[in-house]
Formats: sequence, structure tokens, C-alpha cells
Amino acid sequence: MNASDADELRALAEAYVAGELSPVQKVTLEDRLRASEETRLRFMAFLEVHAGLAWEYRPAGVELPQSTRSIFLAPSSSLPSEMPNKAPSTRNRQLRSKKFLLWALPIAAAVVLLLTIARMWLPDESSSPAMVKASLHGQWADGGEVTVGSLLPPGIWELQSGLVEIETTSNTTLIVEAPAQFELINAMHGRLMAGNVVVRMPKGKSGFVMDLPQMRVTDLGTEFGVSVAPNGKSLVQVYDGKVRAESLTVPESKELTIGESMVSKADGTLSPQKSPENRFIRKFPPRSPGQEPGGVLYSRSKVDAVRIAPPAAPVVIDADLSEWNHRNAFRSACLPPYSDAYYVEGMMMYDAQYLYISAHVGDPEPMRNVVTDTMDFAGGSVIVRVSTDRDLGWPLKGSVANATSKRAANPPLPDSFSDRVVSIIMSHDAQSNKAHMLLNYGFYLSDSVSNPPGWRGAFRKDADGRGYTLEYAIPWNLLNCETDPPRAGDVMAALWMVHWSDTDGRLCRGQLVEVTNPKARSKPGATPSTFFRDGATWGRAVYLPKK
Amino acid sequence: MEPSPESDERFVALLLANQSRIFRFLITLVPSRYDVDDLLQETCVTLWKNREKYDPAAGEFASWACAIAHNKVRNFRRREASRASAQELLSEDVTEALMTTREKHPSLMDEWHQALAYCMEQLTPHQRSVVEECYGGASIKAAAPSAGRTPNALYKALRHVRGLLHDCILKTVNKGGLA
Repeated sequence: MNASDADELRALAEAYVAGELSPVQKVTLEDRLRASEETRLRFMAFLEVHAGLAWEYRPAGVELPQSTRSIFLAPSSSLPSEMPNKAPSTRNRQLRSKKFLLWALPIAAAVVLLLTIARMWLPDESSSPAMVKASLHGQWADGGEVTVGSLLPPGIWELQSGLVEIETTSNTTLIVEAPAQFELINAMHGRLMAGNVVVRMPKGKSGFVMDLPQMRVTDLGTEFGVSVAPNGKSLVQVYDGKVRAESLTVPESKELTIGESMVSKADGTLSPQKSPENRFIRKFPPRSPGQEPGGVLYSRSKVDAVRIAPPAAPVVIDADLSEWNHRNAFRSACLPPYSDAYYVEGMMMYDAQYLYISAHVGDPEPMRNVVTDTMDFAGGSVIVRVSTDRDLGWPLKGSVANATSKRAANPPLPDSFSDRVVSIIMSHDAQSNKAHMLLNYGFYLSDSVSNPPGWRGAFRKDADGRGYTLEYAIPWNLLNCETDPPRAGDVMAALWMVHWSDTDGRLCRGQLVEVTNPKARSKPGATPSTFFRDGATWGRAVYLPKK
Repeated sequence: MEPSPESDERFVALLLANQSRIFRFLITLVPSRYDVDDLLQETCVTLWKNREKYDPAAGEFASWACAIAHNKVRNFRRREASRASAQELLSEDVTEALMTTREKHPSLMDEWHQALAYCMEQLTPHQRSVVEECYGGASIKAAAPSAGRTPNALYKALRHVRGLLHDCILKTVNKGGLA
């Protein structure tokens, strides 16, 4: 291997261990590792450096109980001969011996604990702390249908659509409203990363803990709802009894009682909120006799880029797309057998003042959205995420993970907080019968505005009631680029998402993701939230010249 | 059959003796040491639960433990698929290629590890302090103020030291090791 190749490999290995490999770098590294054993050996030698240092300098953990020291503080001479204990110098041997004992303590303590209470602890906590009790249109993020009666082991679960009732082995009921991402830690402890969950403990019981990105909520004998919006905003609302809400970033703790709500602000402080009764779905809606539950709505993205041309004629915002040039439209649909009923035909245009977005959405329950909170997109919506900063280029580097990173090797980038990376959430408010627009800026806990001045939007239901058309004009100042709007030749990042609701316009029935980075969507395990949360997965918005 | 207290004690001794190997094996597959800490604990719990299945006659403890650790990584990959930390993992076919290479050169990892201790001795006190600051605490960002540097400067210094150590262990082992 020549010096240049070796240098490049080391740079890639550095980025890998720092968690900073870009998608392009990752492809390069993987290609090189596939191609040559010499490369693999050099790479593994580098990992051995990282691993050895991480082990040698691993911070100390818990104290070993006195009564068990005789087991774990055995002299190294009594250890089996296969132990690699031939350090090259006295100094290192001493260092290693001391460190060995120090680092052994957490593991040793854990093993001691197991020795002591293995029979009562292992069967419960290490298996499944919860079971699915009911599901309405429930669908996991990989497209699989939620099965009633299935056991849920500890871990992270992502619900793409529907309503799911989970009961833990502590008899705590969790009603999870999609889209949601949550972690089951054990029967008395969960973590919500996105979505809505109602927690209900049996009468006389308390102590269930739900962690949110910026808040810990502890049940004090009650029923409460917790919500994490796409921008990371965390909220708790009490329906019965009391809870304690603690900020995770500032020393602030409050007790809430029936009818009270608290939201975490960007600085981590807690602030009271209104408590609309219908913010959360607390019970399963009764099913009409003969009503079919319906199958899962699921899509696979195929479109790499959306082509955005200037309009040939003045655009009238009336949800009549006759003045649009349909040549640059893309179509995306849910997988069969739902591809005929659930689809989107999307278009975008631009001029010096506005970004124009139109969509014709196949939807058997069109324009029914009654959700008025931060999860309003779940009741039926089209979301277009765009970057209007050409300096950020494509693919984007920003992500929710980066915005919330506490790792020094992966510090938050300005890209993750840019106010020129905007989510445009377009929905039809069935209660006011008006178009609605919510803008979220950046990836996490940045500003958001609802129905700001200057935009125009219109909806029109299909004549057969099986879909709708939306048409929006959004001035560049709302996308923070009025002095330097996109121009012909620009290629920036964009993503489309469509959400369908149930008959009540409340529950997410399914969703579709389109305009994506082909490298990202070819990865196994990519879910809708992967695309939503990671700018590197977005496709391209290509701005075309006027013809 | 229930394991006896004596066999439990022997098993714990084996586990402790091989922690470093399991940890280093895991970090080959998962670069984040925070994730690896969790995986190591999970692996140790599984090893303990299955201790009666370990047959010394069937092979080295380290091989058995690393096979279980590998399964933990596969589960981690599936479980954490949507998380950013999982996106940083190498593709499964590349991981398998690395594992095959490791199996073809079973002693090389230990030789590099031993060489690392020797190479650490070649560092200046200042360079060693960089390593200690970066790996000994919660994060580079947290360590930077006490080290009197910006996080970026500390990270650059760490890159330099890791590069020196990488060169050193390759040269040391290529020369025939420390024996």
C-alpha cells in the first residue's frame, strides 16, 4: 500500500471511530475493505489502537461489595493460562493490573448481583416487559403489522401508523399513537423519542417513569399523556392523579395535577400549557359492526430528485393545477394492494418571490384533519422538507442525532440548526375548513411558526371524494433566503412525506416517504423516522432554468 | 445440571480474564465505546446465564465469548437500526469480511495489543496525557477545558497520537514483535 492510500485509509478510520463518516466516505471505506485483506488488516490495527486505549483508560465504575472481594480480586497468577498477561514492561504490567481490577468492578458487581438474585431477576427483566394488548392499523416502521399478543422485549420500537395498546408486566397501560418512536427499558421505565403516549397505572400503583428528550416524568398514581413533537418539544398533560416533571437540563422540578400541562422550552425550563382534553387518544375508538381493520400502508422510495422549474404562467393558488407544467411531476404510491388508493403526485416550482408546492393525494378519507397540536401532521398532511442554503450543499450533514450529540467526537454542526433547513407541513384543518401551514426550522428544538403571514394555500377535494389537491405559495422570506433565493443550477436537499388519517381525522393511518438519497434508502433498516431525522438521507431538489 | 460454586468461581475468573478481549472484539464492530459498554454488559449477562453450556474441551473461552458478543452486535444492528449510532456501523458483508480476516490471523490481535502497551511507553508524557484526557473522561468536549484546549485542538492532538500508535504497532509487529 502506498503512502497516499495509507493516509487516506487512516483518515477514514479516524472518521469511523469518531462517528463522523459521511455517506461518501463510508462507501469509500467499505469498498476498500472489501477489496483487500491488507487494507482490512491495517484498518483492524487502527481499531486495535482505539480499542486498547478505550479499555486501558476506561473510567472506573461501582465499588465491589466487600463480601465478594475474595472471588473477584483473585491474583492474576490464579487465572487461567489463556489470559494474555504478558505485557512488555514492568510499568505496563503494574498499570494493567491496577486498571484490570478497577475496570473489572462494574462487570464483577453485575455478575455478583446475578449470582445473588439470578432466579428472581433474569427471567423477567431480560425477557419481555410488555405485550401488545390491542392494535388499530398498527404498523411497525419496517412495514410489519403489529400483532396483538406479541411480546415486546426491551429495546427501541418505532410505530409507523395506528394506535397500539401495550401492557407492561407491572400492569401499566401504554397507549401509543403513531408516528412514534419509544424505548421499553423495563416494566416501570420507558423513553419516548417521538409521538404521543398515554400512560395509565392501576389504581393504588405509582412509580412508572417516562423519559422525554428534555424531561423526566414520574407517575405519582395517575393517568397522563406525554408527547414529543418532531422538533423535539416535550410535553406532559395530566388526566388523573399527579405526576412529577423534572427538567433534564436545568435544576427544575414540578408536580402537576389533574388538568395541568407542562412543556419543555428550548432552554430546558418548564412552562405551563393549555390542556385540551382531546390532545391524546386515551381509549380505542369503538369499531363499527362489519368494519374492516384495513391493511398496512407502506411505501418504498424510488425517486432521487424533484425537478423545480419556474412557472410558465402566473400561478393562481386555488388547488386547480391547470397552469402547472406536469412534466416535472413525480408519482409515488404505497405498495400494492393500496397503490391505487394511496399515492401522491408532487410538483414544485419557483420564482423570485415564492416556492410553489402542489400535490394530488389519493386518500379515501380526504381533508379530515382535526388535530390542532404539534402532532397535527398525523391527521393527514403533506410535509416537504427543504434546504434553501446552497452552502450546505447535498447531501446535508445535519441531523437530529447530531443536533443532540453530546459526543465530543461528533459535536453539533451548524447544519443541524440552520434556519434555512425548513419543514413545511401542509394540512387541511377540517374544523375551520382552511388550509394550514406549520414551519419547523432546523432539526431539533429550533423555532416553529404556525400560519405565518405571507403564505397562501388552497385545498380541493376530488369529485369522487377519494383524494384531494393542495397548492401552496410560500414566500422566500419564510424560508429565510429572501436575499439569496435558489437559482437555476442549484442542487439542494429536499424530502417529501405524506400522512394519511383514519375516518376521524385523528389517527395516522399510514405514511409515505419520497425524494430520497438512493444510498440511504438502500441501507437495511431505514425507516420513515430515519429519513425525517437525518438530512443525509434526503434527495435532491434541482432548480431548473426558465425555458 | 446446576453449576457448582467452584465452577461458578472458575467461570467468573475466566470472564474477568477475557473482558479486555471481548471489549476489544466488540469495538472492532461498533466504534462507539458507549455502545460497546452496553454490549459488553449484555454479553457478560448472556455468558453468565449460559455458563453451564461452556465446554472448555470445545475451544477457548475467548472464542465462545466473542461468538456470543458477535450475536449481540447483530441484535444491536437490528434493534438500533433507526438510530444514528447504528447508521455508523459498517455493512454486514464488510463486517463479515473483517471477521474472516480476524479468524485467519488469530494471534495478530493480541500481538498488536501487546505492542500497543510498548508503543504507549514511547509517547512523551504530554502525548500520554492527551490520550488519558480523551479516553479517561466522558467526552473530549468535557475534557477540553481542564486540558486547557478547545475540543477541536484536543481532538487534533488525539488524532496525531493515534496515528503515531498505529504506525508503531504495525512496525513493532512487522519486525517480529516484542519477543
